[in-house]
Amino acid sequence: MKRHANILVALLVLAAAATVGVLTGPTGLSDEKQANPDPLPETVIEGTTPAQWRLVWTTDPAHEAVVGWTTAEAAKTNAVFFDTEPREGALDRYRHQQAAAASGRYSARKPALHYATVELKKLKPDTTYWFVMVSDESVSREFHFVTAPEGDAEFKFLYGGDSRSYREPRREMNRRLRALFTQDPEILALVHGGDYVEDGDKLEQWVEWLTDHELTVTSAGRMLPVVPARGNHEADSVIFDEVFHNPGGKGLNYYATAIGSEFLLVNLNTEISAGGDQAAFVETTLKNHTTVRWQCANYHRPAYPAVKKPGSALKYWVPVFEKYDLDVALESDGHTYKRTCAIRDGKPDATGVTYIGEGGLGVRQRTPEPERWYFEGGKVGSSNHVQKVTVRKDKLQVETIAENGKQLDNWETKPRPTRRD
Amino acid sequence: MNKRACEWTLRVAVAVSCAGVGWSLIRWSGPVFSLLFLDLGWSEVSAAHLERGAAFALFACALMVLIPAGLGGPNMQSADASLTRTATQTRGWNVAWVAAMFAGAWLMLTALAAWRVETWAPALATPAHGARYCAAFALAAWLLGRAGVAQGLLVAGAVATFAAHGLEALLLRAEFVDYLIGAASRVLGWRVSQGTAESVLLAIGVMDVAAAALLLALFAWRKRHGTTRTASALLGWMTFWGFFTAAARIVDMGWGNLPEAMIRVANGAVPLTLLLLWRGNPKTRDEP
Repeated sequence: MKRHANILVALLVLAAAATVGVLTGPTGLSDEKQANPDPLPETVIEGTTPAQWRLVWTTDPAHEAVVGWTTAEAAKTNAVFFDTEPREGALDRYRHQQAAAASGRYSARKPALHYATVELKKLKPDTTYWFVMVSDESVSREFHFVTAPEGDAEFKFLYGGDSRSYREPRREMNRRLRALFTQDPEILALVHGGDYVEDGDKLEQWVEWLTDHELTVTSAGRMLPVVPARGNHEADSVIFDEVFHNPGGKGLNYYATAIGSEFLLVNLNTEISAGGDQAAFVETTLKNHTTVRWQCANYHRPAYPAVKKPGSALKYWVPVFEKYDLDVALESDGHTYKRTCAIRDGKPDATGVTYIGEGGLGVRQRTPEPERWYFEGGKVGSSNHVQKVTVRKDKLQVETIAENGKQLDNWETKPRPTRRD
Repeated sequence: MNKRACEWTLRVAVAVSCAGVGWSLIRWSGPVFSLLFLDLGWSEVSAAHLERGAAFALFACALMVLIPAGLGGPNMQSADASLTRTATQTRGWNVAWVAAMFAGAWLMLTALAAWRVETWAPALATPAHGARYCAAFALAAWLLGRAGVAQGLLVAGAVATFAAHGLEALLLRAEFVDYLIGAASRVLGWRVSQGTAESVLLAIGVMDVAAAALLLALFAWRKRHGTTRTASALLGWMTFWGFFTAAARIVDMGWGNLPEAMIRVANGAVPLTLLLLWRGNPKTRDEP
């Protein structure tokens, strides 16, 4: 009898403690549940017809681009026919063609699909290229894209991360990207902060992502280039490299993208060692570009997160960012939107680095923690979103835009006076 | 004396683990939240409140597992009695037992959730947590006087944790590479290249897997031949290494990472308990 009383007392103590925990829990959290969505249509992939097209930028987008696509059957030949004039798919009229640099079956048991990626090189800067993808006898519709400018150029790009798990919000965000891209031809590319899909080893999820990514193509056929970073949900996925053609090297996926002569974007991989070769790469890259006016970084796990604990970027990259006066670090992973105050040496400092992003390209949003010290003077919230970054000679502006087009945040900074020293 | 030391080593380890997990949940949330909210579609408020409730319950567990025999209800009369299965074993059904069972259940749930939400080598997540939940369940078994079950759980926990961490090292887990680079820089002032760190990590991986395999072999051997010096030396090493790697979390990211080190205290405490148990009780199975 007494034994039962003891157990009862213990259970009551546990229940009381749990109740105290619940009652003192954070307020303002969302009580919305997420039902399993109905299946959405996927692009029909038949024979060798090129489908699920993507355009990838890495180090030198003024002169290089990668075109990739998917086919159901393995084609004997894969190539891109391209020109600086529209040719409406008449292959014999295109002045250039380039065979695939890589092709094969995706590294997944099912579905049995194939990829082809073509490297376009020696392109002219700030030029519209019209192209078709050709696998054996199958020819895609004609698309076009604009190469990045050279020199001291002004332009815009979109930044976002975390497009995994739920398709309908992702498709809604892709429609928003397309609307922005259509309305504003100055937008050059989408810088993606990683977590495209929930499980990077599952090709069926990539098929859905690639299907939804087609929504970013404008009605005129302009393709939005992607500057990809690897997220934790891609982990060590081989398919990531097959989709994006090994950006920065197979399995490494860190590289610097120069757009014009005065903008540098350092894309990093938080899924491999941050303190080893990558730390050296960040140091060398920023050291070699100290006079470049605008310097940004793009990586997945945040150093100054809105909800989780800091990633290894805090220890290994942030000191280097501060040493070389990086302007903005673009971070994802948290499923919120955020802009920190400028930070140096672990405290607010107007000369420091500002951290923006946290991921909202169609992923279920969390409620952030605005009481974290680095959000004083910053902005944080919960909404799917994309950041539109405007690069000007006299300012760098970041607008955070919700899926309905509403502006959630608008921030700008001036060029650092130290940059030309 | 050793029996009492075994019991209190386990009690303290479970208490520290509970406090560390509770602290971590309140500061950062954990894999159960991610599973419920992102994978199973729960509302954020439900998932967060469940985890916070669990965090406070774990704080209560951290205190309750330290309630000695005689408090919180009748318990075993002595530590020696814990090695026998007699009619008095039911005396172990006390407050500490309930707390140990709750802690074990939550830690196991966390390990299973980690398997679902971890994105890098997810299959290793559940065994990697083995020492934590096995320590709690072993304490519960111990308090019931089921020393054989407790011993089996402790061996299973140590083997699972060392084998899983060893395999993660052999797969060159990025976090571990950075621990080595960071520790060498902070403690020794050495700048270690990634290649060197990866080579060291491979050696550590081989060592951990070998330790797990050897412990399993010695556990079987011990049933016939008793405790050997090899077993003592192995458990001594595993104790040191378990505590050392737990402390590496603090070395790497400073005292802000203390909860992470506390969560992993069982990695050293479980082999330590086995060491104390085996040295003080050369052939448990043959005890009267």
